[in-house]
Amino acid sequence: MIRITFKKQSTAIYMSHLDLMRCMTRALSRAQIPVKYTEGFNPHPYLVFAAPLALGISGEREYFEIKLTEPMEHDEIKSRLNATFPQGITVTEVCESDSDFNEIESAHYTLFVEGKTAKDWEDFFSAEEIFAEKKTKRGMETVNVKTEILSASAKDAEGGVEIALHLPCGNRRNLSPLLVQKTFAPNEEIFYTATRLRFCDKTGADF
Amino acid sequence: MNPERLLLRVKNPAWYSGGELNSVVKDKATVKTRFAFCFPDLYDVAMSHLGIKILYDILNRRDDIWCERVCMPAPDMEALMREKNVPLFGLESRDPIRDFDFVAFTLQYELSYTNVLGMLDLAGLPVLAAERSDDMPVVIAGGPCTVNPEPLADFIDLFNIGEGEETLLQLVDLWQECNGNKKEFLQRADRLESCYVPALHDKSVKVRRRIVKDLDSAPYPEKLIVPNAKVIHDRVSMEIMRGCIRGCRFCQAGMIYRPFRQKSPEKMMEQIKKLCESTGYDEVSLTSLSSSDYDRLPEFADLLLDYCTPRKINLALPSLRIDNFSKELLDKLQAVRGASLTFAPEAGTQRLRDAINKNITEEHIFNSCRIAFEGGCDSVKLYFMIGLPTETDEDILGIADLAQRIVDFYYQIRTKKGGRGLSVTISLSTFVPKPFTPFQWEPQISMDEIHRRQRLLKDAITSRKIRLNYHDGKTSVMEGIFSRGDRKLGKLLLCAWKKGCQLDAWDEHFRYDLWTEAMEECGIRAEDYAGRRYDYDEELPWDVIDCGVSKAFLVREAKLAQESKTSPNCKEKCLGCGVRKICGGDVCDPDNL
Repeated sequence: MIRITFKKQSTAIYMSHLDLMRCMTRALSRAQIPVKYTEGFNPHPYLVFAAPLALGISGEREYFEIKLTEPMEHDEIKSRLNATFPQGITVTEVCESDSDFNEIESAHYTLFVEGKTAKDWEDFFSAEEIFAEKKTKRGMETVNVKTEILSASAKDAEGGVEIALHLPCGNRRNLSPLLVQKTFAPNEEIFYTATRLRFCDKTGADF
Repeated sequence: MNPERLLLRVKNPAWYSGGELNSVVKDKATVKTRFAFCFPDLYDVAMSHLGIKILYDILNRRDDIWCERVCMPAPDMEALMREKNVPLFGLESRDPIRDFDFVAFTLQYELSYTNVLGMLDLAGLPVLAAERSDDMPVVIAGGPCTVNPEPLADFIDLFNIGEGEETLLQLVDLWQECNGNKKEFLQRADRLESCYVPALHDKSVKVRRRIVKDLDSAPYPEKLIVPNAKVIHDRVSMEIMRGCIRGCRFCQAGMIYRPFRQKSPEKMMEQIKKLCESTGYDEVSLTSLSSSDYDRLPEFADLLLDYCTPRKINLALPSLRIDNFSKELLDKLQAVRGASLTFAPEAGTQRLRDAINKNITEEHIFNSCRIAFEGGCDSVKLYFMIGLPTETDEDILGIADLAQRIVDFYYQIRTKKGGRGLSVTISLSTFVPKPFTPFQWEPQISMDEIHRRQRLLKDAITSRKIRLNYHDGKTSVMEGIFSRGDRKLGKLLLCAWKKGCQLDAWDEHFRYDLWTEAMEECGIRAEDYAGRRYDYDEELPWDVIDCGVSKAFLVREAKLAQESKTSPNCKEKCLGCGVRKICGGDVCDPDNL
C-alpha cells in the first residue's frame, strides 16, 4: 500500500468527501499512476481514505492509500499528482504505508470564529453539560458535546477567537468541529473557518 | 463583501467557488478584454453544456481576452447575495461582471429568459438595454433561441445569430478597434452579417445565421473544466456532427443547425484522447442530433472501443435512432454498458409519424426490439409528443397500443424466465411550435386540451409494465408563447420577473400563478401566441433572421404534413431547403452526404 499525504485548502474545501474521492480517482488517471482497480462490474481504483473530511473544513495532513500494479518512485507519484490537481489540493508526501487507518482515534483541529472572544468560549465551555443535535444514520441524536471534547483551549485572535480542539475521530467515535462551532455560535450569520491539523492514535501520539 | 464569506451558508458552495481543474485564471492587468460568459441556469446545468466549453476555450486561447463563467445562483445564494450586496461575479476572478467589457448570454431554452433578467439585475445592471449607460458592458446573446430574438429585444444590446466559433472573436476585435466605445461598436456590429442590434437594425436587412464550414478544422478544446461537484453530464462530450439529414417537421434543431456536417473519426479520436488525458473522465458521450446517421459509425465505434475498453471508459450514445440500429453495433456497445433501449417514435400511429416526417415504421421498431430483447435488454424508454398538428384521439390511443404490443412482443420472445420482466416507460411531452420549422404556423393545443389528451392516454394504458411520465403542460404553454413571441413579450417578461418568476424550467420554482397574473396585467393571452394559427402570408417576428431554410421550403413541408405525406431525407434527395445559399454547395452536397 502506498500512503499519500495531502492538504485540502482554499476552494477545494467546498468538495464533499464523495467529490474528493471522484477528484482523486480522476487525478490518478490523469497522472497515469499504475493504480490497482477493484474487481467487479463497475471497476474503480482501489482507494482508502483515513477519515472523511466534511465539506467546509480544511485539511493540513490528510491521507489516502492506493495499491499499485507496478512500482513507481514515490517522488514521481508526488510530482505527477501535483501537476494535475484542482486549486487547493497538494500532495506533501508519498510513502509506504506502515500502519492501519483503524488505529486513528482522534484529531486536532483549529476553529476560528469571527466576532467571538476567548472569554465567550470559556463561558460556553464552563457549562457542565453542552447538548447538541447530531444527524446520524438513525436520525437526529442528542449528544453531550462537553464530554465528547477531549480538550479545548481558546485564545483571542484578530477579529475573533481561535480555538484549539482535540476531538474523537475515526470509525468508533467521531465529533465534527462544525457541530462544536454550531453549538458555540448558533447564529448562522457568524463567519468561521475550521482546519483539521493532524490525526492521533489511541495513545494520543501523532498518526 | 467577498463572496467566499457566503459559501458555507449555501447548499452547493462548489457551484460558486471556482478553482476547478482547467478553469482559466489570468492576470487581469495583462488582458485587454474581459468577457463574462453567462449561462442563465444553475451551475450543474451550465457545466453540462458543450457550447459554453467550446467558446470558453476559443476566447481564452487569446492572451488579450479573459473569458469567465457566470451562472444563475440558486435561490439560497441569490438571497444572500442580495442581502449582503454581493454583485454577480465571474467564477474565475470573483470580480463583479458589471465591470467587464462583455456580458454574454447563451439562450438554450425559452424558460431561461427570466434568469437573464435576474442575472443582469444581480450584476447591478439595469435589465432594459435602453436604461444602460455607455460605460456599462455590452450585453450580447447567442444560442438556438436567438433565431427569434424579439422577446428579448428590450434587454439585449446585440444578438449574434448562429455558430459563434468565428463570430465571437470578430466581435471582440471590433470592440478593441472601437476602443470600448459602445455606441460606435454597436453601430458597426449591426452591419456585420450575423449581428442584430434591435435598437438600430433596419428590418429590411436580413441577419444571416453564421455557420462553421469544416468541423474538423474548427477549434475544439483540448481541456475541459472538471467541476469539483457532480454535475448532470460529468463526462467528455464529443460532437460528432452538426445538423441532421432527417427533417422531422416539428424539430427546430433539425432545421436551424443545417447543413449536415460530420467530423472525421481520426480527428475525433485525437481529440478524445487529449480530453480523456486532460480530464481523467471515465465516460465519453457522443453528441449529435442523430448519431446513427454518422457515415462511418461502425469504423468509429471500433476505434472508440479499442481506446475506451482497456481504459475502463464508458461510452454513451444518447441519440441513436431506431431505424438503422444494427445488431452488430448493439453488441459492440453492450460490450461497454447498457441494458436499456431508448426510442423516440414521437407519434403513436404510422399516419401521424408520416405527417411529422418521422420516418420510422413499426417494422423498424419491432426489429430493434427483437435485437435488444434477444440481447437481454429488459427496459424500453419511449418518447412521444401530444398535440402534434393533425393529431386525433386515434393517434393518442395508438401510443398506448404500441407500448402494449411491445410488452406482448417481449413476453413472446423473451429468453430468460423470472425476474421483473419488461418495463416500458413512456415520456410524454407537449408539442411546441417553433420558428423555422414547417410547423411554425401551427397552433399549440390549449391547456385544457393538453390535460384531456393526457388523461385519454393515461386511461388507455392498462398494463402495469407500462409507466407514463408527463408534465402538467403549463411550462409547455409558456414555452409556446415565447418561442413564437414578438417584441411585445418584453413587457410580460419584465412584469413576470418583477413578480418573482425565475428558474421557470424548474418545477419547484415555476410559478404559473404569477405568470397568469402578469399576462392579465399586460393584456397578453396565450391564445394569441401559442394557441394561434399564424398565417402563411403574415409577417413573422423572426422574419428579420435568415436561418438558411427558406419560407417556401417550410410551406411545402407544412402542406405535405396536412396530407400525411413524408419527404425523403437529405441523403436520399435534396429538397432544396435553401441552406446551400448560406454555406455553399461544397458543404451541403447531397451526393457527398
